[in-house]
Amino acid sequence: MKTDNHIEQEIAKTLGSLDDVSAVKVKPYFYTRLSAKMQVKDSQSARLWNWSLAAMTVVILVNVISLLSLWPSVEDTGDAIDLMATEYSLTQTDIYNTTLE
Amino acid sequence: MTDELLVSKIIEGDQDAFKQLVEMHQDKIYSICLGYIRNEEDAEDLAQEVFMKVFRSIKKFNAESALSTWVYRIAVNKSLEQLRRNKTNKRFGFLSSIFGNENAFEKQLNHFEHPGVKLENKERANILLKHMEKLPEKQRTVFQLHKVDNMSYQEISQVLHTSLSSVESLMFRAKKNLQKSLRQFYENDKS
Repeated sequence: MKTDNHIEQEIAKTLGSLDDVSAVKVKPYFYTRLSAKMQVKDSQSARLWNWSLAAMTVVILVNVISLLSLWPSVEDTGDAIDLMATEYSLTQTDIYNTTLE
Repeated sequence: MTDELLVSKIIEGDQDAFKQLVEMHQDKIYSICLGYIRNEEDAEDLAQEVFMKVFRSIKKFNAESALSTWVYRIAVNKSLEQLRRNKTNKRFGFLSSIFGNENAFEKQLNHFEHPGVKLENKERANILLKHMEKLPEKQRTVFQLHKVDNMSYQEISQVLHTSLSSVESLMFRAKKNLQKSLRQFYENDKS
């Protein structure tokens, strides 16, 4: 059975157990592995950038094509105005021609 | 070569200068990462992440402190980030433990033996390392940088961007908390 004094000794020894830790070293060729990883990351980010650029171009193209195909032409606009004028009997603006009696 | 010259060469794209910086600090950075992560492979991955961050942000180095201090600060911050991520995973790891799989982070903490500790101290050091887990982040960082990475209080204060008295106070509280925690451990062991 441990006494309180013994416990205090245990605590002191445990707290001091990291006092003479020797320096740890990385495994050999750390820089080689690091530079390989950096190259992989660079090529991945370049690939990601290319894909984003391609996706953005496609989105812009689709928008431009849709805009061009749905944009009413000048002739179409004219037809629509004529049609509306006929429908609402706006073809003659003879109000100015009538004379006051 | 001075810090300024080394930094300017790295900014210019000199690979040899970067290699020199890596070789100067790789062991210390690995040691810092290992102290937090407690797995040799993960610590090496993290050390690589640290150097990648150093390479990407070398332009931000303003020579207010030594280059080594700046690099160590990045290592401490990266390690703490990783530790928080691991703890979050640990919180959600209870699901896997229901199905009988021990959480990976928990497993590496339980089976880790620091390679720098002498054989006769291994058992005690493992107990201490486990109890260090319970310390608040700042106390743990100060205790670890001083005890495991052999940094002086002055160096720690520069790395953590804090005052010397603050480091001393954190170290004092860390020791007190560890004593309390170890006393409970040994008393339970006694009964």
